[in-house]
Order: sequence, then C-alpha cells, then structure tokens
Amino acid sequence: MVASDVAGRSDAAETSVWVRAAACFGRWQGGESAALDELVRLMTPVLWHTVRAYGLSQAAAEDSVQNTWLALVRNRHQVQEAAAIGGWLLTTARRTAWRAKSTDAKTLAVEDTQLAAGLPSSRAAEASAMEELASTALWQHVQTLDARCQRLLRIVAFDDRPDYAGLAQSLGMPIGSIGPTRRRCLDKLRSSLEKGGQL
Amino acid sequence: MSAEERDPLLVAVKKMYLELDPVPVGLTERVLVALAVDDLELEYELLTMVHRSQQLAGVRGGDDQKLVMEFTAAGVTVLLRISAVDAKHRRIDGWVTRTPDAKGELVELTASLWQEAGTATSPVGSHGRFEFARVPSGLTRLDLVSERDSAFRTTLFEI
Repeated sequence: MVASDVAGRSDAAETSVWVRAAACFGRWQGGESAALDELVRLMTPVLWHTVRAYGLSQAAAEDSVQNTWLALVRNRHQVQEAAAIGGWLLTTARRTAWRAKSTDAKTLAVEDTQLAAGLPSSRAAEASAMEELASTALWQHVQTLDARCQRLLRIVAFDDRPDYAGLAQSLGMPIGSIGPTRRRCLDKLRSSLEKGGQL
Repeated sequence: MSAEERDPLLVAVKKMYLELDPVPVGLTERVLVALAVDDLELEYELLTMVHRSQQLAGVRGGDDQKLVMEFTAAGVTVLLRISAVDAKHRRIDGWVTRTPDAKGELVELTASLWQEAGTATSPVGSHGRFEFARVPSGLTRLDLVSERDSAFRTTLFEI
C-alpha cells in the first residue's frame, strides 16, 4: 500500500481511519509516544475483526491482536512509509491468525454456532429491537454461506483495499479468483436474503 | 472496484459483525498494558496462543475449574494448567516441549512470570516441568529465558 492508495479510497469514513492511522504512526515515528496509544485505539477494532474472520476462538484472537502490536513495536523500521501502516498491521494480523489457526487442530469449530445461539438474549437489552432484528437475521443468512465466503466477506467488509497477494495466500485461493469469489459470495448472500423475504 | 466497495450489503455485513461479535471489553487496554511492559532490550520470540479452554474437574464449578492454555513458537510448545488456590490466587503447572538444537542439546530455561503485582521465577526441570504454587489472579505474562540467546514470551492473559 502506498500513499496514493490511501488518497484514492472512496469511502469517506474508511479513508479517515487509514489516513488517521498514517498520521498517528508518523507522529509516533517522530517521537510522540502518546501517538502509539491513539493508533492502538484506532486500529485494534479493525484487527479484531480481521483475525476473527480466520475462525480463531476469542482467546486466540485476542492473543493474535496483542502479538500484532508487539510485532509492530519491535519491527517499526519495517514500515518505511507512514501511509503503509494500515496495510502492514492487517497483513501481520492475518499472518499471525493464519499461523495460530493452522497450528491449532483443537480450535473450537462450534464457537460461531454457540455465539449465534447466544446472541438474541444477550444483545437484545442493549440495542434497539429493529436493529437487533436486522443484524441477527443477516447473521442467520451469513451462516448458510460456506466458510471461505464468510471469511472473505468479513475481511473485505473491514478492509476495503486488502493486500490481495497476502489474502490469496492465507485463504488458499489464487489471487485472480478473489474478486470473482467476493462477488459470488455477495450474490449468494443477497439471493438467500431475497428468498427469506429479507430484501 | 470502488462501486463494489460501497455495496450496501457489505456495509450491512460490517455493521452486523460490529454488533454481534464486538471487540472484547478491555482488549485495547490490555494491548496498551502489554506494550507498556514490553522491555525492548530483551530479544524474544513471541509465543502464539493456540488453545485455551476451561475444564471442569468436578461437578461444581468455582474452585474446581481448571484453565488450560497452549502456546507455540518455532520449536517450542508450552502447556499451562491453571487452577484456583482460593478466590484471589492461582496455581500454575507448566510443561515445555522443545526440539533439541543442532547439537542435540537443550539449553536450561527459567520460567518467569510477569504480573501487575510483581514477578516470580521457576526453573524449568529436565522434563520440561515448572510450577508456580501460589500467584495472584489477574493479568499475567510468561517468559521463558535461558542463559544463552533464546527467549520466548507470551502475550498478556487473564488467570
């Protein structure tokens, strides 16, 4: 990722995250230690959703996020341009998650199911009924997609310009098929929602 | 691609994950603590958590619960079994499995525990065992250090 990539982002809200991350990193590189805290607060949520997309348990996902930040502090010189910081963090998080996932034969494959089952009661109190209904309904349809579709959609939902080479490797698919697969997955989800009368 | 990036369905998927699988409470703070207590002069390899589970030893929960965690790095696996001594103290039993170096030797290791309340150490025995009989509950980090160059470190975890 280079500076022009960041400038070229079309989504204003997303742009601000990447640009703010670059600014924080630049200030930290310049010696302002509080800027690292700001960067952590800004990017930790994005990293969380990235590593969870790989199917890690909550504990392993937390561990991957922490390791990503520790790796940054130890390898900050690897990031030559401030604008590249978002891409560097996401790539490192994906690599860490992928390594943890491939080592752990015991990762709880049932966790998502448990999560889905536990959702309505635990969340209902804190969100408005309509919004809750919409997201839980969508969740049910997302669960019908194959694991690769679920993973890919979650990653691209949080990282609108992923590093396609790294993504292809960690998803175990050719780089040229990511775009088409993403479209196919979105189409499947859309048609599932239509059939279910949600769209 | 930019039209696809703004696909409202993808936006809805993002919103769904934000709502239904939110960032755990306190994760950002734990990251900040981990960074604050990371002494940069020590060279180490990061141990990755590959497994964490709660085991029920008896019929009742509470003090009978055992927490099992497994970490790995290149050539090293660490298994921790954590049990409650009382409401505020834990016992940690650890096992280290290592691949011998090129000479077929295993350097001696010391297990070192960092906690907010202080630090503790335990030698790793010839069979890879180490233990901390009574340490406070709370945020914890384990280092495995040797006289020579090798050192391994976990992230912060709650016991």
